[in-house]
Amino acid sequence: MTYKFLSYIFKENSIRLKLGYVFCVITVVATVFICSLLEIYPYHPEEMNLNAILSPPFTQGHFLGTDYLGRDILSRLMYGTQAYVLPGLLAVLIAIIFGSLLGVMSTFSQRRVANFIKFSNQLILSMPRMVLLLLFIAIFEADIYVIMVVIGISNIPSIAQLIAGRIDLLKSHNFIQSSIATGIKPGKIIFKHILWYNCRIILVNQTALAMAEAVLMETSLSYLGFGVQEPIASWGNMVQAGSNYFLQGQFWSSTLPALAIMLVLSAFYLLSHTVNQVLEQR
Amino acid sequence: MPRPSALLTVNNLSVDFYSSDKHVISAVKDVSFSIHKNESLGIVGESGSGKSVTLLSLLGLLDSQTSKTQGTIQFHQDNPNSKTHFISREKNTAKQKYQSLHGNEISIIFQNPHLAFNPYFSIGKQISEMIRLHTSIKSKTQAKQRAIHWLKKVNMDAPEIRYYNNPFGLSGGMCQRAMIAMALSSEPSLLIADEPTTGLDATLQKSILQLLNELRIENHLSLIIVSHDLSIINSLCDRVLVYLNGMIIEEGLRDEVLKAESNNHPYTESLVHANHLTHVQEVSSANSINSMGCPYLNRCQKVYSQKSDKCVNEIPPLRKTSNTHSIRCWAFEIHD
Repeated sequence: MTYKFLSYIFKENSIRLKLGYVFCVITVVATVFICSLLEIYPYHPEEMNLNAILSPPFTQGHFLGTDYLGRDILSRLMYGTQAYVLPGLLAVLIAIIFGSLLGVMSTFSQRRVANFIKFSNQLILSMPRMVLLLLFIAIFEADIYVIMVVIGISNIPSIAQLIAGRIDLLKSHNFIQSSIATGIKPGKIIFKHILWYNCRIILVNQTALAMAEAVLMETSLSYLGFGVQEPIASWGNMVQAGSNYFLQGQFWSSTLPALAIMLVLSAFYLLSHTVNQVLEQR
Repeated sequence: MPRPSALLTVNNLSVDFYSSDKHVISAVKDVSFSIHKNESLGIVGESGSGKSVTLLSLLGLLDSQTSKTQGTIQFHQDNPNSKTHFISREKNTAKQKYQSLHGNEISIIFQNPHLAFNPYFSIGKQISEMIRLHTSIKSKTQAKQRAIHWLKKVNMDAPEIRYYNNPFGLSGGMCQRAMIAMALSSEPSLLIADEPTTGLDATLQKSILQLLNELRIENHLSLIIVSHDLSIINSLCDRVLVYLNGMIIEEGLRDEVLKAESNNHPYTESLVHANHLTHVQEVSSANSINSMGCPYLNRCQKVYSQKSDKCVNEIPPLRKTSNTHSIRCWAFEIHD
């Protein structure tokens, strides 16, 4: 049953279904995020209701139940979006902007500069990201925004290499030469013709993947206890806090945030998948 | 000296390429020629003889990191303060001034049109971008009408539909037509065609060449056409340059150069005969070309009978045999 459903989602002709799913999840996340910014919750996320500790979903007053301190899970899930939406966007912006700039630079600059860029790309790529992040946190005791900047920087090389590879391919055709020959200004060639028309698949794709990566990194760090700290809610530390009660039968306080993570991640992966399908049809 | 009606004058153009191990390859050696208004000039030569490099350097398209260009290229416009371009690394201002001519006064048609268009952008939009960049038409709707007008001009069927086609949705011939439409849409005075019909079959070749010729006469264009196919040159060009090993070895009117019975450089003779596929000359590899003497030395049949010392030791100068015809061969000393 599950397999059938999944195979249907990933079939070629189900683009609308995928886009619908992606659209729904992203809209829900955005709405919830805005609600949490405006502080519209059923309860305050850190407010404890000691009469209703670990009450199951659909209890009166607590739609998704409560956790081990009697805090409302729905409110905490809503508040948890704050832990990754803005920081994630920051990471993505850093990765996309600097990645594409470095990619362009490494193909159009002098050989020494290009070699330097390629060498530093390899250097960053060769370090395991999680270890890098843990080191960084251990040394600087960083908060989530600084962590996301590091994630963004560690995403730069892969995007730069993809863009550089694409431009190298275009250079082997004489499309860039002919654009210069027809008198289009270099800036316009780079930003309109190369980056937008020829690299937008890569850019949109990588935006979706980098966003998914940022969510995953935030939640895993919070799960390990290095990201967002209790009592501030994040999906990662909610899973961690609930996991102690999982085997005792009160599974919802860890399963619900985990499900939320899964839905959001699959939305971003599907987004990149569909963007590929839609834009590659030339 | 440029003649009064010259449109483009090239003086002492040389192009050197640097490979990674500091090895210098000179692709074009001290080439001078000019093209007049409403004239079509053909450049013939075997592959690797420097034809395409000459064209690319005319457009300033060579990578300045790996190559070095020397010499002057002058472009003469109708207005009194004509733009002049000196190719050298120091004079960037002249280079920028010359780059304003790209597309505007000089257009190029590439060999493979599929690779020369932006693959993700409809051909019509690319043509109308050209029009808005180089002509007085600035509004999008007018530019679209003008682009469709040019697509009609190059005999594209259903131009309103083709306007929205991406380059890879078109066949080779259609794409080449679109390329010609794009080159003409900026209303240039010089059109450069780099082997425009290489990838096409014979009937398409003929129709494309006819089209080029008609449009050239209609729009008062000068045309530089590069090809290794003598029949193309024969049908289109007023004047012919023959390239060998980066040098012009013969220059003259079409009939002077390509008629089999006239006094020609032995290389041109072999080219003309090779066109009939009767006796194709064996082509020696580039390594065996003598750098001291005549570039054609190893393949020349005249050299064994006369002037062999000079042929081995000195590069022959390009000397005039008549008002319009000049040749680079020691064997023609008597006619000097």
